[in-house]
Amino acid sequence: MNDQAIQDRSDDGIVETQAGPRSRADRILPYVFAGPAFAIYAVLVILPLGHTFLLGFYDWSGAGPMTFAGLDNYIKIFTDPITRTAIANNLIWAVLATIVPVSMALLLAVLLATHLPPGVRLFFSTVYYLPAVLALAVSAIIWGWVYNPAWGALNTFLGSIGLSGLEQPWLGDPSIALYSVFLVSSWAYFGFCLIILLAAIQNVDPSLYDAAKLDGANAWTQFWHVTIPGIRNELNFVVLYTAIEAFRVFDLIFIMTGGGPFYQTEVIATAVYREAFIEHEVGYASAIASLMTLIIATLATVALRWRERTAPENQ
Amino acid sequence: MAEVIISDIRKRYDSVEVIHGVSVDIEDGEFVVLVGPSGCGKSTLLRMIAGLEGTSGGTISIGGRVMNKVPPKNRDIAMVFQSYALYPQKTVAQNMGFAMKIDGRPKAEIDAAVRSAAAILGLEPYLDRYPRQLSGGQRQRVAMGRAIVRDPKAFLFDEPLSNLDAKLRVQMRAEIKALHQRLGTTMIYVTHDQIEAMTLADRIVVLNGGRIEQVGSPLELYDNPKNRFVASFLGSPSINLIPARIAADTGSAVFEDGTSLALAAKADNAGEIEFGIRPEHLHVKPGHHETGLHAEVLTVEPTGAETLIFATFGATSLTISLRERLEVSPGDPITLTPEMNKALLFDRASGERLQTNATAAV
Amino acid sequence: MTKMLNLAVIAAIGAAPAAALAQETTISVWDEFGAEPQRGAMENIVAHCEAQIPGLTVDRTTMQMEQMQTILTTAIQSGEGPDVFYSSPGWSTVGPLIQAGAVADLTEAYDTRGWRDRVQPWAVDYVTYNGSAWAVPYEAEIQGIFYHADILEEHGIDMPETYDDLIAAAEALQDAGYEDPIVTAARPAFVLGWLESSMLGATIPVDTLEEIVLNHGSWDNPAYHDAIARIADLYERDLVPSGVLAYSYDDMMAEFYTKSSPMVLTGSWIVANIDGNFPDLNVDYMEIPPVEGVEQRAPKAAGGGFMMSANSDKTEASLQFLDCLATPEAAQIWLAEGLSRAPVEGVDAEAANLSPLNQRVTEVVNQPLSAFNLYGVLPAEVNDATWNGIQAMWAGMMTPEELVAVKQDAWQAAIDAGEVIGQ
Ligand SMILES: Nc1ncnc2c1ncn2[C@@H]1O[C@H](COP(=O)(O)OP(=O)(O)O)[C@@H](O)[C@H]1O
Ligand SMILES: [Mg+2]
Repeated sequence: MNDQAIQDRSDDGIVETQAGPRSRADRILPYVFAGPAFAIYAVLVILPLGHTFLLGFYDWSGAGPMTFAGLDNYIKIFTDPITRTAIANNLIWAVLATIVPVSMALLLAVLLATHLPPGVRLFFSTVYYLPAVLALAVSAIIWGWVYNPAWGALNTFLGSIGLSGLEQPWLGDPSIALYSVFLVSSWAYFGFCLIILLAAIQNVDPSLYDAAKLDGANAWTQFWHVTIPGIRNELNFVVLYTAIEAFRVFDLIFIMTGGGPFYQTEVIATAVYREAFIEHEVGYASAIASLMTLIIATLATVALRWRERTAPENQ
Repeated sequence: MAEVIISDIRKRYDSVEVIHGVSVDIEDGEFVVLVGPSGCGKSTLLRMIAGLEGTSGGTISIGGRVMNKVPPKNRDIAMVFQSYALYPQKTVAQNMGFAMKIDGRPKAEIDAAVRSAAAILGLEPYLDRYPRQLSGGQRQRVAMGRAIVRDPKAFLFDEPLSNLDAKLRVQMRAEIKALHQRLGTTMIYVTHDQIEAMTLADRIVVLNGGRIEQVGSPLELYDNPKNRFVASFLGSPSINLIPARIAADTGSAVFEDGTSLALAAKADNAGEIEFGIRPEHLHVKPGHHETGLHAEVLTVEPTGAETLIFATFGATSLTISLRERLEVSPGDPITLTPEMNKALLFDRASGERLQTNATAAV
Repeated sequence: MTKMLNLAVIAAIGAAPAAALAQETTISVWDEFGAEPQRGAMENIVAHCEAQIPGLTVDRTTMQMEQMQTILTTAIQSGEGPDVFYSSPGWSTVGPLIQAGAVADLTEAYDTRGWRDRVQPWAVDYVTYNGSAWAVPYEAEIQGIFYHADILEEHGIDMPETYDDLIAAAEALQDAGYEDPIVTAARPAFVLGWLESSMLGATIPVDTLEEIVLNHGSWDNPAYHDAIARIADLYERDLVPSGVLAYSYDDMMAEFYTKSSPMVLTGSWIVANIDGNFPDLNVDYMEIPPVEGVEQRAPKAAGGGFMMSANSDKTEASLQFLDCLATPEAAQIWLAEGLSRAPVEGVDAEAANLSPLNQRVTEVVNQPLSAFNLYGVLPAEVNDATWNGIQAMWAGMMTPEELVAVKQDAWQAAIDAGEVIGQ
């Protein structure tokens, strides 16, 4: 917004004219301060996003001439079976991600918070958080060894306990590869959920548990009626953040399976990468990227809205 | 309703014992206040009665039944917490009815119980509100309502008024007292505030460092404290303690400036003492006179009904509380005369009350 | 244009005399030779060329190939790019750059500076698209089977001469306890491209393949069906690991280096690694041996080549540098010190004191015949669809017939979009 626009706005407002010049300055000042940040944001975020969105309307290899393609790229997203697989996989991933690592973390957080002395609790939460500190690339490599079909620890272990029937090419079987990678993702991610939820649980007023015990609540009732409501905000945050992250998943899949075998572990971000950098379909890649941005922006808006609503001053 | 008998109860956390063998018999329908400084073990004791904390020794029985191994919900007691401990996601009515709901009682019965408890506490207009929509006093009333609904054998309160402002505290204190009179149920009440203890209790248990210092009715403890700790813990402003000694020959109290005052009764041993006298038992005359302690005015605090004078006597600060008004200003000399038959004498080293003829008579 | 694959070697070697530059000129060069032995070898080549061309200074920047590919287009178009860069000259990589007009056409330099006499004809073909030459190829590669000669010898297996011999040899090895006689990998997908290229070289006659690739014929062709069926057959016979779809390139090479698998389908870039890190291994090379009626030939590729940016304003200096690279002296340094083969005539392999394996590979590189390296000649989306299709076929999600249809569809779409060689 330029200065003139601000001027106009404050001039035709009834309250503003009465309130006089000092109040007008007060009204303008926030915009003046927010202005530079917004300008930077516009240049660094909005322009590239808009550019990507527009590129989606062109047939372009990334270099050379651009041909206007109308809605072709956007329509192709829903007709191209590989992209559809990528979107479906990403949805599966997002649903699982908001359930598996979060509930694992919740369960462990409850156990750690209630049944262990503080020193032991610190030790275990550190151990569980450790994978979250590793670079994803490192986790990918470690688990690549675990899953290795020839000498990987997992198959070797299964064989050694007489379960060689369960040995699998974990990353090579199209029907399980996505879940094999997902497991690594959960392993790497749940520690993050754990420390947030653990901190939240430790912040729940302990006398609520006492009150519940006197009311006759067993462990399960206490969990549902005290713990869950007590950590509602943090839990909602973790779930929404996880959903957003799930639509950004890239590194692990890229390193561990490259989207294969036969595109069966492809997700939206790897599809964008493949289309743009391997197949030189930058226009199409941009259309998919725009879709991804839309999904993430929607989730983020939900998250922010929800934060507004549940902020303490609005309760 | 039931009596609560605590005998030789102990509590250890790891190797540290924090309750060192406490015994109290609480009669059916009695209002007992556990009072003592912060950290003395009041909450721990109360929580052991509730079953929220295990015991490391001794027994607790409620209504004739030993409860040491009985889980909290089966002890038939209700508890009110300092932080109210209301379920934030439940309405007032749901909070109050939760125990019955868990117990699987029919909805109509729960509703009736909640309504009648709400009526006692004037909570009817708020039954559909959430705790966050209530003031602190209202929340604490809901917490009490939740306890009443359960119709327990005993109520336990752990500093229920500490989160309220001074004015509300006075008001709620009265409500709790009225509630006790109405229900007639045994109540065990923990506080560090001696005024609450004095005003509420049928009987006060003074705790210090995990041990009982003294048990008795409020006035018994006020007039006849067993030791310096109890004497100075109860009463506001608190008792004046003036270093002195008992002259072996005359049996009088001799103060550090040489002033000698004859005791009302003969103390059974002589030596270094602390001469205890409550603020309302000191009489004041402006100027220095022949008999009495020569002090100097520090400040004067008129409160309307009474006047507080803070003065120095040698190195000792003294508080005097007067019903009448007195025209003195800071720096003025004054002469203090204690009511010698109200004086309490403590052994300076042990803090124990000295036996006198007078005490023996009480 | 026609891309001639079968040319006589022209032995005429003559370096054009280097001329001094009119003024001191610094050219910027981006390459990927950040690791030894190539790093030092390239430094020496640069020093050699700077000495040959008075006034020339070369300012080298080394980076990873992937990194370069992602920034090159933007850099060249914004005028920030290098004068000369080293890249894969394969169509699937450089095609879009060429179509965007970012790469300088070197045809005239080839014609007037005598490069055609100095660069091996197959390699000139490899960097020629649509009638123009775009690069000075500098890394001649062949693909095929690398095998542990001692293991074959130990089990009395002769080097296979025909495709059936190969299958028999693999089965014999399996009987001898090698569960996975041939190893390949699915990650990255182009590893399967080496298998496909080699298989095509062994099963499809030269003319048929040229007809499809260069004249835009159809892949729905009995010869290609046969090649795909043989790829399916390798998996069905269990001659490749049953978990092959989980194998990465590194997994595959680990299987080979530890002798768990006696044969691996890869390319000549592993030679430097074997020479440097596993000198005790007795590894030899063979093409996939041909079926009857097909001439034996290895897929050759220029794994990389030096190109000039279309935006360079130092063309003469850049061309002179490229000219110097294309001399036997520079190529000799590249072979002897960098253990890498520039497809330049007149290099003395004996003098370079190479390992037997490296000698053998260099010989094959120098043979006139070459099969297509599909990575180099087909558009990326056609290859991607095929190599993923092979995975699907092995996973039982696609029949060989469906795979051929998928490839043909992608091929036709690329032709329609004007994205293939010859358009
Ligand atoms: N869970 C615990 N672990 C170790 N020490 C504790 C624990 N709870 C209370 N204590 C100790 O026991 C003593 C009595 O505590 P508490 O009963 O809460 O005191 P009060 O209620 O009188 O302020 C204190 O010294 C306190 O530090
Ligand atoms: Mg306490």
